[in-house]
Amino acid sequence: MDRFRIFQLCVFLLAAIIILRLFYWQFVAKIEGNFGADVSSDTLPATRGEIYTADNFPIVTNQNASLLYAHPREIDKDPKDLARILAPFLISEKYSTREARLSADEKQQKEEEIKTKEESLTAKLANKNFFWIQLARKVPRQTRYKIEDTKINGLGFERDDKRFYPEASLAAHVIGFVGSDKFGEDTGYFGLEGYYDHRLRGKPGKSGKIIDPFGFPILIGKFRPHQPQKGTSLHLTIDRSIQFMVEEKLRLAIEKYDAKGGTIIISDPKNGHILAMANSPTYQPALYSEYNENLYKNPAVAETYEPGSTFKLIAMSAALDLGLVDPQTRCEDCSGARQIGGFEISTWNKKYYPNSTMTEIIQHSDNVGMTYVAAKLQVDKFYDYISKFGFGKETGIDLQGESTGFVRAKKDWKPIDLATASFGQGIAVTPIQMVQAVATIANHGKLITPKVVARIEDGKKTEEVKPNQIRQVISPQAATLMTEMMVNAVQNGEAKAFAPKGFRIAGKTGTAQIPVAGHYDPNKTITSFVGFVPADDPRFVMLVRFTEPTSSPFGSETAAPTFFEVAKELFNYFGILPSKN
Amino acid sequence: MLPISVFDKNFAFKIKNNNQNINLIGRVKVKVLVVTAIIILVVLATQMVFAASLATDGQKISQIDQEIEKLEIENINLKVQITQQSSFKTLKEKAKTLGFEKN
Repeated sequence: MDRFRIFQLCVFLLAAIIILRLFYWQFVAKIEGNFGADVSSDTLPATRGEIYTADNFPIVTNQNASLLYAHPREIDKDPKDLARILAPFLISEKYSTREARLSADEKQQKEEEIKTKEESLTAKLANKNFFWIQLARKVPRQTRYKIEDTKINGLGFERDDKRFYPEASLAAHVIGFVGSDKFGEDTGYFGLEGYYDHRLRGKPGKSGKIIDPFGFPILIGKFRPHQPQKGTSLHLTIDRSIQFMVEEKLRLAIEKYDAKGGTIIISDPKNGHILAMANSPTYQPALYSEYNENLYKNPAVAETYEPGSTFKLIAMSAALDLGLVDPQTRCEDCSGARQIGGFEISTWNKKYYPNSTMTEIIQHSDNVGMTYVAAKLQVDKFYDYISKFGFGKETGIDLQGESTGFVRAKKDWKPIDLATASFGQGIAVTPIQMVQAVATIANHGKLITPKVVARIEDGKKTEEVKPNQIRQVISPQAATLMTEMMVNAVQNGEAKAFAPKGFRIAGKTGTAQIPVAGHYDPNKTITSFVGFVPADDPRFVMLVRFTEPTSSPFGSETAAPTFFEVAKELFNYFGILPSKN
Repeated sequence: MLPISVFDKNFAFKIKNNNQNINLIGRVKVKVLVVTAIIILVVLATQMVFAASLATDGQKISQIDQEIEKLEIENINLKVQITQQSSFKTLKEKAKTLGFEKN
């Protein structure tokens, strides 16, 4: 056999061997495992958008955290021992303060929580049927380092970023919090996190690349990773300085008046921007699960109450706008209590002012005088103005969980309902509705939807958030007359002793008894004060409201002084000077 | 059959029927064969070099991705520290520690 034949044979043999081997790998062997090139379709999580206050401070941002998992089969330690090591790291972050700062009770709670955590971890780790098991989510970076230092086999981490709140509980009810939905995905609840969840969460991406057996990407074919799109960022109208000051003042006032709770809202009447919205009691969004669920709702937009005398502003504005009364119109029927539909209507202090003017009726917060106004208005007209001022429906503020309040259907109104509604009983409003209505008076009769977000940015474009509606509710003339009556109420009313001298403040106190099981509890009140400053060119509208203050049941002795305390701080902040006259 | 076989038959035939060991046609065919083989080898070598390079690039990309993620995390951590230090909550605590009082 010559050389060429041998060479030919070798080539044939080699080719046959290669073909047979390829055939074997392709059709016979069917090798399992990650030995071939594969398209990785890992989801790339999107970073949630941040939330900035008006001074561009990130009041909510993201911090690096991890998901802790275990491969139970790879763990070489006894599950109980391992659980004992891990449990102290995985309990609530509220115990992460220095040990010395914890009270004896807290220390005991901590020990109990560690014990409970140990038990749950032991149960998870002892189950060898699982290949992979999740032990904890959102583990802080420092805790991860500590766990990694233990060098325990079978544990691993995945990136699982979480929200970070540099100002802790500041504006908690406005912000809301981020929890998990039923699929374990981060989801916003309440406040801005809930309202803007679909925009804040962004769009997750896909790695979508072919990887080799070592997991490295192969740069041919379908190497087209789809990058995640970060969520949009919210830029708020909330002024951090005002919010911080207001929360502090509210906390002190609640201690002083021994109230169950309180709310302060400050807004700019010219554009509806909310400058501060504070509630007490509050919670920490980072530790939301540690608090009672009842605290999650924002009382400023979700809680309804009978507004009491502050609602007199609405009835009087309506009557002024229709020309049914003017500030000097005298009440001919104000010399004593009135009987309407079998009920007696009296004043709060049983004092009566015969022939008082409309201005004096507001000044004395005269219920009997208001029934005179209501009688002039009648149900149809009064109801229309209640509706025009935005009561009985959502204001459209961009916060989740807003309530509509309660206004009885027009057909169900009886004479007594007309009378009591004129001084704010038998009707339920939310604090934000009250602010919107008084801001309308401050804004020359023009109603503007309140907003918390000024603009939304996604890195490429900026979207300005505009009010849902702007409408003229009362004429500018009627608004001016009403403003003067409110200024007079501050200067000569029950709260005049607390009012700062030299400033023209328009305002009105309110004290409403709380309806309990069909009657009003005389010892439980909701006190409030609503107003705007300076009266002629308002820079802010403010509502102060306390639930069940015990030191005094009256708005003039609780809410009004707090209003003036906060207003004094705002005069300095905005540079508002006392008027010359 | 492959061209090698064709070449082989012709070549054998010519050896038997030609007194001269090498003729012109045979020379040309050998040259074609050699050139083709060289081209194939060069192409194969190039392919291998590129494949190896792609594999290395994949590894590099993977390393760069890891580096990017590390830097991103570092940035996040720095941002968190900055916001924490400049928060009113921290400033208030510091002011209290330093003995500042409000007039």
